[in-house]
Amino acid sequence: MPTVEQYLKPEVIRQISRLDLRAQFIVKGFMQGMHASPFHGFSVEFSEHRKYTPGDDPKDLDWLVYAKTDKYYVKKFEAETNITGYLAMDLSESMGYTYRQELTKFEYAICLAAALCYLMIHQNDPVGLVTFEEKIRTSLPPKSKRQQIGAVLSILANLQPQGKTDLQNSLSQLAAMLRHRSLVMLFTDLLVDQEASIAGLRRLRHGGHDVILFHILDEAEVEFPFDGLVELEEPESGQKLEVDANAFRADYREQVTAFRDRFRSECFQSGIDYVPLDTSMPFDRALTEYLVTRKNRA
Amino acid sequence: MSFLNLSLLGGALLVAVPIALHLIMRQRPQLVQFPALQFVLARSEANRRQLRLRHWVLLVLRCAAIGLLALALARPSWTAGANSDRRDAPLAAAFVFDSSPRMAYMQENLTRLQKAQQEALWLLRRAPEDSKLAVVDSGASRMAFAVDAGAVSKQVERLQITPRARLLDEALADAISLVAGEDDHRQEVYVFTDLAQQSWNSAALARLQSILQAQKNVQLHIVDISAEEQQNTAIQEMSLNQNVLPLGGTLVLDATLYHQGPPREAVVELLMQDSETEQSRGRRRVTWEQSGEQQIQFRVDGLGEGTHQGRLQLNADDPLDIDNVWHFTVEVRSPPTILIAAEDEEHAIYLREALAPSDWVQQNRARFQVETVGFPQLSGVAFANYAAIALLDPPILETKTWASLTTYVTEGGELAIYLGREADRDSFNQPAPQTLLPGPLLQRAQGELYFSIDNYSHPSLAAFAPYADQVPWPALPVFKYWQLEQLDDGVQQVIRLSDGQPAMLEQVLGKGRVVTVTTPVSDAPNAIGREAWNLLPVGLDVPWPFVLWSRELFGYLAGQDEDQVNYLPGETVSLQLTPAEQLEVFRKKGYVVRGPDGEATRHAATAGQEWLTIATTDLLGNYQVVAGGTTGLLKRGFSTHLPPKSTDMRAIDTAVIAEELGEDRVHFAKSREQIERQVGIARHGTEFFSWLVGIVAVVLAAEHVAANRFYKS
Repeated sequence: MPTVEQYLKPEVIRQISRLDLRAQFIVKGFMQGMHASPFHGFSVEFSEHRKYTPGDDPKDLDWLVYAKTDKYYVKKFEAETNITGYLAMDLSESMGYTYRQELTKFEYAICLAAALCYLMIHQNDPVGLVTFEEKIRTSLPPKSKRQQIGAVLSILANLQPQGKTDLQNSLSQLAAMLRHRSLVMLFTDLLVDQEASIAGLRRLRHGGHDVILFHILDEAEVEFPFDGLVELEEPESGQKLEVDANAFRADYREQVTAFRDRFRSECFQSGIDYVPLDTSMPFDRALTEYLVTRKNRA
Repeated sequence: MSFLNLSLLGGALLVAVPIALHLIMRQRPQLVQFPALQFVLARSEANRRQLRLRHWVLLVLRCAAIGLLALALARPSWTAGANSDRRDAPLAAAFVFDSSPRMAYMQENLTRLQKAQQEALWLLRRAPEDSKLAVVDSGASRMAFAVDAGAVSKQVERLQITPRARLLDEALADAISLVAGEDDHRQEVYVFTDLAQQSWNSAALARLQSILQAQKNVQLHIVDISAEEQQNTAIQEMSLNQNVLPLGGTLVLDATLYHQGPPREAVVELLMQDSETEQSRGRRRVTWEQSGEQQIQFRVDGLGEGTHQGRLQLNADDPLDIDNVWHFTVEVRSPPTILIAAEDEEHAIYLREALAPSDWVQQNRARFQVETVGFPQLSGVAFANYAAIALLDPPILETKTWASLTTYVTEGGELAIYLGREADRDSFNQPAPQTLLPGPLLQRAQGELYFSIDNYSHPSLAAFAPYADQVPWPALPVFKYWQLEQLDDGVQQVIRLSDGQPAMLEQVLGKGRVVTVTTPVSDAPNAIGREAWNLLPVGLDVPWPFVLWSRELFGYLAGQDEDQVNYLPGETVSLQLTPAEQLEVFRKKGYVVRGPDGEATRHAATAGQEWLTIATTDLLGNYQVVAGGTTGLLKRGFSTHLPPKSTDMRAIDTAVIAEELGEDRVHFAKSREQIERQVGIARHGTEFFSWLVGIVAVVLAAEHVAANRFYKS
């Protein structure tokens, strides 16, 4: 019997080739773990019934209705409030990096986005998808129907990271696109101009939208696990640099910590939820963050 | 600095390889994709400098490893001084052994000599086959290389302790000279010693330093075979008040005992041979709380005329017992007869009482027998009956009297002339008296003078030597004396006056001697009309200087104490026979010498042989020289004893030896491991191979660590 932890470890998720199954796996694991979480008791009131279709979970059958009508109806749950979510995916080439983890930053982001999409759809929250690098490339309007999962997963599954990122421009574009107050879940490594990024985030927040910034770095980009003399190459610009990794490690980690701390501080000041992640971390952290935000909006 | 494998030093040229590799083939670092390069760029310059430094460090380590390895394989060594250029030459070595009695010290069932033999034989087995080897011991003077190693081993095994050992530095000097003659050999001398100070005193070190400076290729190896925590109680030395005692005299034995070690008690006993048995003539108990000397004295009276022998025995159980006994011989003879010729008895009183005090004469204790005669009767005296004759203030004598006296002296007699007021210059300057006098009389001189003596080596003055500064000669003033013109050749000035003029002179004449004193000793102090020329006999309440001087002078003239009966081993003994003894020896056609071991050897003698010479005196103990058996007239003897303090084992600090002889010329060892190491250092020098290999290992390890840390494998 798989454990909760197995559902949530990236290396386990990696073994599932189908993104939809991956998403389900993550969510199931997460939901099972909910029993011990502070979110235990989180419930969603069902607002209506619908006819049972094969594949529905028998637990959702409303036996009271059956008693009354001799027909099978499942409860249709909905969250206490509805939020429109947008999954904003950074498609820059740097997102396609991994050093020694099972998932690249992009794959990790996709898994996370898929899981969140799955979770939201099942809670009848509309979910849309936006992908960007220098500007928005793809935009899928938010819908709450079950088919939206397939549409989102289909696009996510075919995405390839490439090119450079202009986060500020992309977020500005996104802010202009959004008509209603939404929850924007941003998946990026933020390896761009920091000031511009912060400006973009503020622009988004200024529009009244809730923002969850999933700051995804590769485990190597956090730990700097290299030894000896190495030549580092930046994939987007092609810039190279030869360093003594052992002598550099402490300084580098300091730099990354400062980098994260800056965004944490800026996000806090802007009311943006900042979730620092690296590709070695289980997914529950990200999902928990979504729930916190969801709850706070309630 | 020298190298065992000089050609391998060329391997140091391989340091060019890492340099070339560093310049041409720098190892490529691994290329890694890293999107977060921006964080690296910020600190890259500092990192680059560090990188460059590490490159240089690594290069230096690699070059150092190669260079040091090449140096190590070349086997450098430091050989300061001798034999540095004779590493491959054959060996010429001399083994010097101290075979003195001190080497009889026993520890762990081995004497020091046996210990030395063991170490030497072990060392001999390690000598190269083509070595030239010699054994030199302090007991004999062998000075040649042995035929082969087997012969050397036999010589070593036959070594024995001998009391007649010569000085160790003499043996060492001979050994050094022997090996130094082998120009194309490595020259080494091994000396097995207990490092006692008396063998390594300043004179010995000075001598060895001189000879080592002259023989620059000789290496000296000192093997310490001394015992651990040495303990010994010894009779360090003993002296008799006289070797020849007058009949009735007291034999006084003064001995110095020495103890080295923890507190102990011992008994000292004086034993003297009495006919066939030994009789104890005294015992003392001696206690030492710590190491040091103690003095004891024994007095023996009532010895009859003849030769007496005995021993002082220290009853102390210690590892060295050869010094627990001291043999001695003393002869008791009738006192010699001295003839004093004076104006009358009154004028002879001072000298007479000095030589034979009336009390002692009555007690038969007097050292001399004294007869007095007036000058008019002098010519009728048979001078030959007297051991010595004193002329106190002689007046003008007949020529034949002077001639008789001259004959007496030239045939072995001893004459003392005290010049005084009765001397006549013109008469005494005649040929006959001048034969005996040391020079023509010049004039009577006067002044406030006294004996001024700066050299007490003359036998008549030797007894004063311990009190030289305290003899109150100024209290015995000389007012008048005879000045002499020039002195004859061969005249020795024994005593001067305070104005520098001679007071006592001596000259040898034929077989005898004449002593002339330029001031008399026969003046009565208060004689009317005869002002005393000096106060020598009366200047003090107790005129001990005059008495002692007179006794010693006439003891010297009479030949007392000239007869030596106590010798060191190996010395040649000479015994002067009396006429009766000479006759006995002649009648018996020789004499027998019986040694301390009881062995007797017979020696032939010729008619009229006055002196017996005995050379075989190597053993310690009492010897008897007899002729005619127990009833014969020749019953003499002599003794041999150890040299004083010869068994003092207090050791010298090796640092002193090294400082005097040079640290690069002398090597010390106590154990076989030390011997091997010191011999190796002396022959091959101090090698640095192990140090260099150690450093190479450290450098290689450092390079390995740095490289592993620096380059990704």
